[in-house]
Order: sequence, then C-alpha cells, then structure tokens
Amino acid sequence: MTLTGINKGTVVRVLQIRHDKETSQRLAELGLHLGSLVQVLSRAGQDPLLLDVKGARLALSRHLADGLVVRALGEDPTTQGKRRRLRRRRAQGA
Amino acid sequence: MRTVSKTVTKHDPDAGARTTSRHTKQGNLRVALIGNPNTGKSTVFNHLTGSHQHVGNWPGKTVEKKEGFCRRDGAEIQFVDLPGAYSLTAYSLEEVVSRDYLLDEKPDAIVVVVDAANLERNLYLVVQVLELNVPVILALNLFDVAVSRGIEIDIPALNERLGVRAVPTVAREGEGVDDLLDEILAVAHSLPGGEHGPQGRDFTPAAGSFCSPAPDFVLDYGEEIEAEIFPLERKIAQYPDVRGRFPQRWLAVKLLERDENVAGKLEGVRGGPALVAAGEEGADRIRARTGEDAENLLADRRYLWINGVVTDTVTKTGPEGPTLSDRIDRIVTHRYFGIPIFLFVMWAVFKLITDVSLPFVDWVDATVNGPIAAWARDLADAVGIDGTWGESLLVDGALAGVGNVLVFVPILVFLYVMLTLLEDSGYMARAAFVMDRLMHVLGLHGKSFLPLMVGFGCNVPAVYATRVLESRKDRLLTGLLLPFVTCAARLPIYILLAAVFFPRRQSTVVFAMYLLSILFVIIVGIVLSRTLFRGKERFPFVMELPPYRLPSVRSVRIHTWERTAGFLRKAGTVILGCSMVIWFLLAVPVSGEGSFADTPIDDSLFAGLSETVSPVFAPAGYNSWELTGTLVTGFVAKEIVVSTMGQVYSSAGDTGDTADDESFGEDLREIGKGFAEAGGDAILTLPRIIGIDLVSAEEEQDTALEAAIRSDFEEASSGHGSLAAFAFMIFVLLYVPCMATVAAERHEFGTKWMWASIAINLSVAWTATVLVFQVGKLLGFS
Repeated sequence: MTLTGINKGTVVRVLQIRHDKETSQRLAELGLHLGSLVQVLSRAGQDPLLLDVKGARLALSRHLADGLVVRALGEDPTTQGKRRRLRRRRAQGA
Repeated sequence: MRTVSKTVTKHDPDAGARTTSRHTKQGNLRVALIGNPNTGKSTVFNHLTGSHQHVGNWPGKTVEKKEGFCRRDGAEIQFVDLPGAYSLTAYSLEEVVSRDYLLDEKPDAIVVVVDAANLERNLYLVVQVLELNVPVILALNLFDVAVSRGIEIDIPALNERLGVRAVPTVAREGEGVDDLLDEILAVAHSLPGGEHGPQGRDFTPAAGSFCSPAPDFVLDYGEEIEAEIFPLERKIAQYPDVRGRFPQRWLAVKLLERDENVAGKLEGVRGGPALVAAGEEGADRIRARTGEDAENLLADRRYLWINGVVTDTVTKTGPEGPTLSDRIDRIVTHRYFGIPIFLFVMWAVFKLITDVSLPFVDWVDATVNGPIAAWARDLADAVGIDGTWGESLLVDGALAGVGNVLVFVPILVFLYVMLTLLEDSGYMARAAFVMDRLMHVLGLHGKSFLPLMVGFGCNVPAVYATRVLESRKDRLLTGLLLPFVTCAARLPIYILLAAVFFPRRQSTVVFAMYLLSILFVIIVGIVLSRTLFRGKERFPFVMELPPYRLPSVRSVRIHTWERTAGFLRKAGTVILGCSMVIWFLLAVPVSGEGSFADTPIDDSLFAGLSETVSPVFAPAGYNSWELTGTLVTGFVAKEIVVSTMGQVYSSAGDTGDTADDESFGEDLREIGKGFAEAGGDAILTLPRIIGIDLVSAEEEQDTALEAAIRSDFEEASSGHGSLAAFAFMIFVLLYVPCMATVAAERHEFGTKWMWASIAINLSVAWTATVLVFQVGKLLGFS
C-alpha cells in the first residue's frame, strides 16, 4: 500500500522508497526515510498531503506519496484522546 | 607528514595564502553558521554581528553570501552565514556552497542552529556536519517554544553523545547569544595554537596539526555498511592526494552514497577514479546483501542513531495533539477556503505595495525635480556653467537619472516589509501549498504566484520577489515571465490610446490588455517550461510548513534595509547609466540649428535613430519616428511614454523654467511638508484598499494631442489607425518593461539571462503585433 491510499489520522511506517536517489535523499533529509513513522494529517482532493513527520509538518505531492510503500499502524490513539482531554481541560478552566 | 601539507597546497593553490592571511591579525577567528530553514539562523546571525554585516554573492555563484564580524575579549570573530539547508547532500547550489566552504575553507568553528522543539529532524544535518570532523557548537534555538511544549533537553548528556557544546538560545530576544559567543571562543582557544588563535588544520590526524576539541565523531552504521566503510578507508589512505583533502571516514561514506559532487572532485586526482569505482562496488554489494539502496540504508541508520540520542536526552511531558499552528492550518490550507484566503492576502499585499507607496513615490519625484533640481541649477550658476551643456548634463542627465533610481525606493521598502512579514510569519509556505496545483500547469512553483502578482504593480520589486523561490530554475522562469505582466505604469498609455481610438469601448479595451497579459504569461510559461527549461524538471513538491510565528520588527528592519541597499548599489548604477545615454541622444543635434544640449527633439540624434529603426515596425502599422521614439523612451520608463508623446507631437515644446526662487530653508520646509503629506496620503489610501475612495483622481484632457496621435497612427498605417493603435498597445504590453526591470534582472539573474529576457520580450512583442495588425487587416478592421 502506498501513502496516497492512507486515510486521514492514520499512522504508518515507511517500508520502501520507490524513488530515484536524489528524491530519496531529499525525502530523507526532511525525515521521510526507511522505517520512519508518519501520520497523515489531511488529504483533500488532488492537493498535496499534509503529514506529521517527527513533529514537523510536511506537504507532500501525491506523485511523491505514490512512491512510498507503507504499512498502516492504525489511527494514533493519542491524538484523539489528547484532543478530548484538552477540550475537557479548557472547559474546566472556563 | 610534510608531504600531506604540501599536497593540500598543490591541489588548492589558495589554501596556503589563506592560512597566512588568517594570521595577519592576532586572534582572528572564522566561524560559519549553518542550519535548517526556519530555525532562526539569520536571527542568530543578526544578533551575533549587529550592524557589522556585508551581503554579497559567493564567488562565481548566484547564491547570496552574508558575512559579518564582532569583537569580543580582544578577538575579532568573523561570521559567515551559510545558506539554509536540510542536509549536505550537495544537490542544490546552496548545499554545494555550504559543503565546499566547510571542506575547503576549514572554519575555526561551526555553529549549527537547530530548532530545539524539533530536535530529531534537525540532528540529521548536525550529524552530517559532525562527520566532517569540524568543531561544532550547537545553538538550541527557539528554546522557549520547546519549553512551552514541555520538551526537556538534557544538555550535558547531549553534549557528551554528540561531542559538541550546546547552548540554549532564544534569538528573537537575543537570549543566549552571549553564551554562544563564550562557547565559540572556548572552542577556538582549545584548538592548537592556544590563545593566539587557530592554526591551519588538516583533516589527517597523522598530520599532527589537526585536533578537534572533542574525540572524532563516529556514527556506527551497522555491520553491513561498516564492512564496506573500513576497506574503503584503507584504500583512501593509500592515496596521499585524496587523503589530505577530505576526512577519510566521511569520504568513504560519500563514496558508498555514490555522491556525484564528490566523484567530480576526485576526477583527475591520483587514485580518485579507482576510489569512485570501489565505492560503487561497495554500494552494489550492500544492495545485493540487504535488498536496499546504500543511500536509503545510510539515511535509515543515521536516523536510527539519532533516535537513540533523542530517546536518551529529550523528554516530552507537555500535551500532544494539534497546536495552534495546526488549527490555523485547518482553515488556511482548507480545500475550499484556502484559495479565497490566499487571493485576499495577495490582493491586500498588492494594494499596500502600490497604493500606499504611491504618495511617497510622488514625493520623491517632486523633491528631486523641484527643490533639488533648483539647487543643482543654483550650483551650476555658482560655478559658471549656467545655461551650458554642463548644466543640462547635471540637471537633465545625472539628476534625472538619480530620480529614476530613487522613485523605486518607496515601492521596494513596502515590498520588502510585506515579503518579510509573509515569510517570517510562515504564511508563504501555506501560499505555495494552496497554489501549487494551479501554478503547476505553467511549470512553476506555487510560490511563483507572489512575484507575478506584485508585477501588476511594478515589475522591479517583482523581480526581487522571485527570491522567495528556493530553486534557481523557478526563479529564472518566473523572472522571464514577469515582464509580460502589465505593470501600473503601462496603464496610462492604454487609457490615452483607448480614449483616442476606442472612445466608446475604452474600459473594455483596457481590460482586454490585462487579460492579454495573463494570457501571454500562461502561453510563454508553458512554452518556456517545455523548451528552454525542459529536462530541468523542478523537484516534485515537498516542503516543510513551519509553525506560525510573530515576525519581529528587527528582522523586518534588517531585511528591508539590506535588500533596498542592494538595489541602490547594483541596479542603481545601470539605471543611472541608461538615463545618461538617453540624455546624450537627446542632446546631440543631427539636423536643424540647435547646438549640443540645446536642440528640439525632432532634430536630435534620438529622432534620427528612431527614424532609422522605425521601418522595423512597418508590418505592425506604427512606423513613424515619433511612435518609435516613444517606444525608445518607454524602455527607460513606461511612466514617461505619455509625456514623450506630448513632447514629440507639439512643436512648441518649450516649457521653460518653472522652478521658483525660494530660499534653501523654504525648500527644506517644503520637502518636509511634502513627506508629511505623503504619509497622510498613504494613510488615506488605506480605506481604499477595502473599497472606500477618499481621493478622487482627475483625468487631464488634451484634445490637440489626441488629434495629433490619431493622425499619426492613421498616416503610418495607411488608414488602419485603430488597428495600429491596438497593435501598439499590445507592443507596449509585451516589450521590455523598463531599464529598471532590466537592471534588476541583471542584478538577480546575471547578464546572460538579462539579454535572454530582452530578446524574448522583443521577439514576442514584435511577432504578436505584426500578427494582430496583418490578420486584423485581412479581417477588415480599420
């Protein structure tokens, strides 16, 4: 499965990089390398994907995402839970 | 040992000279700054060097080089700000510049500026710098952001793991910069040579002179790769020519990565090609053994190692989940809201640059041509060249040229303020994200939209706005398209000609010019990206969206000043030169009774040359010398086209001296008052940006001029006046915008591309207008 087919909110591990050397090294310096963990933050229409990679936000074109073979590790439980907790905390503060 | 030092000198003839020159001043240290984009590296640099900065280009490169210095404890520390980069892979020009500097110039210390809130990714660059075996000081910048996110960094542990000295900094506030300087001095003094500063160092430990303050950095790449690194290192050690130039382990890794830049450097060096071949064999073996490309595996191992360091030294206690930046991004990069928001921001920027700077432009113009011109005449009077060509040269040549340069300053100041705000706030990256799909059609980057938009106001700042693009190819392509964007100065010409020839459809015709402008940008963009720029495929879109940040006044001030001063230095001289040439052409009489610098425009060399050139425009229907001459002055500046028409079409062109006899003090007061009024006008234009018009413009009518223009066009085109005028307007739209734009292009892209741009514009403009006129004639338009 490539990164393009991954749903919003899902965390994946990069298993294989099907790009030429230059592209692979460019992706690596931005944190996308073999074995890296990536969360898809948004994917709208044909727009680039928005990713969370090692805490930074990356915009990645669909063409590049197509070349990344990944395995879904499931939705990041912390994101959902934390958001709920955060909302609760804010409600308490107010 | 001595042979090694000799080989260094042999292969880099400047190395010896550099080393000695470094010792002419005692305690003179050279320190380089490097870091990922968006880590605040420039802010750190600005705080370290203050106002002692110099901006230039790297020799022979189009990459900007920033240098500066500061004095501390009797030592002068010279800083070089290396271009921002995510790694040292040497694919982009910026990375090549940075890596070559670190390899060849061997600075005394390197400050790597990292984002403390995003340490893991940033360490990728740090590791690559450390592998070069240079003394590194880590500036943990944006430390306050890290703290606010609950990120704790065990600095002593980090120092030990990496063999560096890390200093927490908050460069925006200037915090930690003093500590950083202390560490720089401490590192430099721990080098051989002690208190008297560093010695020329060599990468070979055996050379004796090299010694890093920390033990040599070694990253364990794991069994499969180490098994290839070790034999390669031994092979490198056999070739003294190679050994002295590069750190051995670093070179072995680069050979396994099949680094093309390194391979290029090894070409022609004894043993070089053999090493490159050995590296390729090694990479092949790794691939056969692991099923992965060596470079992918190396990247993976680096991150694995970094992950180990981060796990041991960084603890995160704060809440996770979406930050404020994420929440803003949900709206700003929204599928449907994104583009409207972007268009609104661009429109506001465009209006601010054009409308708000306009009163100041008028003020500069009035000041130079009013009081200052009067002073110049008084000066001419005082030295006794009153009424001679000397006075004309001074006032109409030199001073007018200075005026032509200075009128751009207010526009550029506003542009740079807006650009810095867009970039520093982080919005620019979102703009690129949102526009990427649309601009892709033109073979352009999403960010190219900004310069093109600015171009509708003025092409000159637009050329400078191409700096927001990272790749030179994107900058060049955008720069070549810019002149086709119709700037505000071309509008009065459309309005005048449309009023004369299409009185009932005036606004439709003017609007058509704007549509044609967009059409030509698209056509030329598609053609250029498929021809001249084919194969130079832009890097497929991947970019970081940095967290939103509040831009600092200091950063806006420094950037604006730096870039405006750059324009005055570089483009200013070209504009001044062109102004003088035009003055000379107008001053030399070729017929009639006028003398030098006192001749009617019809008798000048200018008219003579225009006469000679004008047949070129015969197929386009506007081949009179008056119209050609107008186009020539239009090259100087589109603003003066209409006034040139006034000059060439009126035989009683003598306007006489209008300057009042006022005292120096009164003049000064007038200038001050004018500036205050300009400020007032600028504020008045602000409501207009949201659609409220407080200042109404008045259009001047000149029926005699209109009649003269009409008859000239009718005559030149033998009865197809309107069609010829339409073609003329298209020529004005498409040909070289003005010498200031040309000067800016030369400043930004080099002389070769400046000429390319001129050639493209002239050929497209000529072809298009001839087609319009000839096809129009066939279709029966008059």
